[in-house]
Amino acid sequence: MGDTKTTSKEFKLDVLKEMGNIGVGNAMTSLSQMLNFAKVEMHVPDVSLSPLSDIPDLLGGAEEIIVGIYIKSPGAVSFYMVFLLDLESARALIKDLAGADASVEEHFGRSVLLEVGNIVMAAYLNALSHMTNLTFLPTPPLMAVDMAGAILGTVLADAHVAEDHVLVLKTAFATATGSIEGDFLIIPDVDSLDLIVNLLLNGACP
Amino acid sequence: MGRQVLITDDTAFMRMTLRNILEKNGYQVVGEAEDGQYAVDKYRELRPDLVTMDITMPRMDGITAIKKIMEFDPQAKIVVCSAMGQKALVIEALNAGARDFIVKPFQAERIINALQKVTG
Repeated sequence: MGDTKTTSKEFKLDVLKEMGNIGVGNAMTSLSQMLNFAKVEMHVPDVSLSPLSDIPDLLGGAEEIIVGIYIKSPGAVSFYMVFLLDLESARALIKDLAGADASVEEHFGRSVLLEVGNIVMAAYLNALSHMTNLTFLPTPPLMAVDMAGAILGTVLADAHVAEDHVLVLKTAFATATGSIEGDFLIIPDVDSLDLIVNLLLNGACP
Repeated sequence: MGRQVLITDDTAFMRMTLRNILEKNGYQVVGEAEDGQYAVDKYRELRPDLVTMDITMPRMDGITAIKKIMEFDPQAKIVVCSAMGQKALVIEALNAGARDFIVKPFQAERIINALQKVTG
């Protein structure tokens, strides 16, 4: 019956949102530790699901140049993670962490952001691993500075993902030098989607 | 004596951060490697007293590098410094021969204490 189908889809979406919730707290704690707790006020992250096509508009506009740091977590439970920052937040992070006014395009600035992305996304995976008893071995992070659509095109080139089921985790910090806003995207491979849902359902008992 | 360190990490920022911490605490950074293969090559060349090793790196990951270094020198003193703190990876690294596993982000004292413990 129609209602059962809708409930089933909604249930799947709820379970996927749980995937976002599980790790984002750990990821944000990790970032705030890097920035020194005393300087950081962390806002509660917002978790939602969105189709891939809507993502560029969610991030301050499709024509905005932003920074994307991304990894793939391959295997049976396969997904992409992208950490997106607006340019001001990226520069603030470089300044906060390295005391430098380095550009996001220069080697050193990129290096800082890559390490931030590495640590924050690994913290997310650590939490997910703890929850599911699986081991995630991501690729080393890469970075792009471009419009959101172009970044996603680079990340997902040749990938076959569940385009209607992108998890968007919006995070924000207030630091001594300003505010930092970042969005995590978790984009499951289409073949992994049902596996992920089952995994979270089976492992989701408190 | 016993304080020459090889730093292995794929990001320049982390290598710089580690170098600063180590040099402030009296260690001498004799080499830097940006992936596991460089770490193995540099180890053979430099024979450092200590190695810090990341896990997720291009070309050769840290656990593979640990195994290769230990094959060459079973007395090698390697401390892992990685964001990947998953239980199975920690166990694998320690089984491969690492003496300690530090999860990023870390405080400076954590890595210094770990290196001091390893050098006795």
